[in-house]
Amino acid sequence: MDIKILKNTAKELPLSELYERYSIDVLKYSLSILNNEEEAKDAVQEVFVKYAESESSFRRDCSQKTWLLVIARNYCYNRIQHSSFRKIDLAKAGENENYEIDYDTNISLREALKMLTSEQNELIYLKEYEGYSYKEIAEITDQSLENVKVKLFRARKKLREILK
Amino acid sequence: MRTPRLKKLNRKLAISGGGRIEKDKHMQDYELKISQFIDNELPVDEQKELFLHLADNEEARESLSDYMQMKVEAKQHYESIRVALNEPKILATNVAHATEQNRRYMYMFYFSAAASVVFAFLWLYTYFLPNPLLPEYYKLQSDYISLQEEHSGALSEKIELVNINSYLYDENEKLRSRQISLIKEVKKQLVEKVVSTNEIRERPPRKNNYLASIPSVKITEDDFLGPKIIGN
Repeated sequence: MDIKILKNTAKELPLSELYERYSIDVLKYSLSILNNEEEAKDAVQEVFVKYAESESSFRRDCSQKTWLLVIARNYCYNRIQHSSFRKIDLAKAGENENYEIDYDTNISLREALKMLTSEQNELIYLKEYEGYSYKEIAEITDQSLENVKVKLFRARKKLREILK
Repeated sequence: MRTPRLKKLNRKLAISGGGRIEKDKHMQDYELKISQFIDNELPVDEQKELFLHLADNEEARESLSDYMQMKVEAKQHYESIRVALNEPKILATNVAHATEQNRRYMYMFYFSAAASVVFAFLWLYTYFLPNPLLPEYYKLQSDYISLQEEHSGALSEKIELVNINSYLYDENEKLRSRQISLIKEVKKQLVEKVVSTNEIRERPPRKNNYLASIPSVKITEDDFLGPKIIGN
C-alpha cells in the first residue's frame, strides 16, 4: 500500500516502547474492524510481529503509528476474507443491510456500532477516536477522499437511524 | 423528447412523491455538509450556506445536534474500551525471532559492505603499486614489436615472391600455348606434304616371307589429324 501521509519527522521508537504506546490503539482499531475481542487481541500480536519483520521495508514516509494501523488493517481484512468467524462479504461490506432495527428499544451506541459493517466501524473509529483528517483516512484505507467523505456520512446516517 | 403522457406522470410525481424525493435529496446534501462540518472539513465558503440553511431548517439543526452527540459518544465509547491484552510473551518470542532474522540480514549487509570495501582497497593497491615485473614486460614488449617488424618485412618479401611466381607461371603458360600452336602448325604442314604426294608408295617385296605376309596399310589424311595426337 502506498503511504504518503505526513513526513515523519518524529524520532523512531524502539519496538518495546512502540508496543506500550500503541498496542491499545491497534487493539481498538482491530476491534472496530473484526468486532471480536479475541481476534483483535491476536491481531495486535500479529501486527507487531509483522511490523518487526517488515521494519527494514518501512520507508519512513509516515509515522510509525500510521504504519502500524495500515498493517493492522491489512491483517484484519485478510482475516475476514480467509476465515468464517464473521459472515461479512467484503465486496458487499459497504452495502450491508443485514441488521434489523428495533425502534421500540433503546440501543446503546456500542450495540449500534456492532450493527455497522466493518468498513463503517473502521471509518468511525479513525475519525472519532484517532481524529485523523479525511486525507489521512483516505491514505490509510487506500480510498479516494470523496469516497471517505461519503462513506463516513453514510455510516453516521445509519448509526443515527439505528439510535433513533 | 418527452411524450405528453410522460409529462403528465412527471407532474404527478412532482405533486406527490417526486417532491418528497427531491426534498430528501436536498436534505441529504445538507446532511453530508453537516457531517463534513462537524469534522471540520467543510470549506469556509460552503459553511455560510450551511449556516443559512440551519437557521431556516429545524430538521437540519436536529441532524447537526444528533451528529455532534454521536461524535462525542463514539469517542467516549472507544476511550472506554478496556481490554486486557494478552501477555506479550508470545509476542516477545515472535518479535525476537523476527528481530533476530532482521539482525542476521543486517550482519549480512555489513559483512558484504566490508568485503566490498576490502576488495576495492586491494584493487586500488594493486593498481597503483609499482610492478617489479614491469621492466621485463617493457623488454618483452619491445622484442615483440621488433619481431613484428621483422615479420612484416618477411611478409612483404613473401608477397613479392608470390608475385614473381605468378608472373613466371603466366610466362610458362604463354610458352606452352605457343609450343602447342607450333606443333599444330608442323603437323599440319606434314599432313599437307603427305597428301600432296597423293599416294603412298608400295613397299618393295621383301625377302623375308614373314614380313611379306604382313598386308600393307594405306595411310590417309585422317591418320594424321593433329588434335588426336596433341590431345594424347
